[in-house]
Amino acid sequence: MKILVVTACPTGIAHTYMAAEALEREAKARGFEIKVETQGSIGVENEITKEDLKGADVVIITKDMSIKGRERFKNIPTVKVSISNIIKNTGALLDKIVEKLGEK
Amino acid sequence: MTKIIDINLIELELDLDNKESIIRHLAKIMDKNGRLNDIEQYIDSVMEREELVSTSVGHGVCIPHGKTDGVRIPSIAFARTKKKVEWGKGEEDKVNLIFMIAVPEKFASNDHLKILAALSRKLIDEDFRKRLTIINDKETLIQMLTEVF
Repeated sequence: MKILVVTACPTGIAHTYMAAEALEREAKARGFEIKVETQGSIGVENEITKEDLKGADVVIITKDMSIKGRERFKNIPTVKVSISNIIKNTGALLDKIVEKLGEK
Repeated sequence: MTKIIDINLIELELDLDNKESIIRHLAKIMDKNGRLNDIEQYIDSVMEREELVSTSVGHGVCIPHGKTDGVRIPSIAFARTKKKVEWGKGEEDKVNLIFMIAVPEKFASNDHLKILAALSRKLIDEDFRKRLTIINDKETLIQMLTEVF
């Protein structure tokens, strides 16, 4: 399973990074490949490149703010999630996504 | 760079039971320590952000924050409350660990924002949160918080 994520929140100070960390930890614990791009007050970090898109099974984007560069992901199944839901229910959220995609 | 948090910005047995009074109290501490330009403007900014969506992030932690010209120096105040306080609608939104963040609207360097990002990431760590609830020595807490950066 290869997951790409973009996180962003209204002030770009805290939630953006908490959500990134939560997903990275949870995904790694499950042995998934994951890359999280943060679009916060510091700017865009860990940007998802064309190379990263190859073989990606799903893209998770936060729906609290508009995400820059969404067109990159047009050929990959995309899930929009609220950022606080990612932080509070990381495990359950990944379970649901995995279930929908069918185990890989 | 002025430290983002110091011993004067930590409260370990805060005996307040509602969100607004806690926000006001921590803002007052920041103001007393010369970190704000305009306390009311800062409080308004924090409350507005809370009204948008509660900043509770689960696990008893919330991160109220305001980004405004009312802030002079980027700062974090940390409070531990005696009892859990409602910070949103759900049972999961009750908190006892409060990190209140103040960021100036414009600031020359990104360094403080990077610190806040690092701390936010650290709050996901269960072990880190556990230590935050049991350590009673402020110096040790400061050390632990600055290790993150």
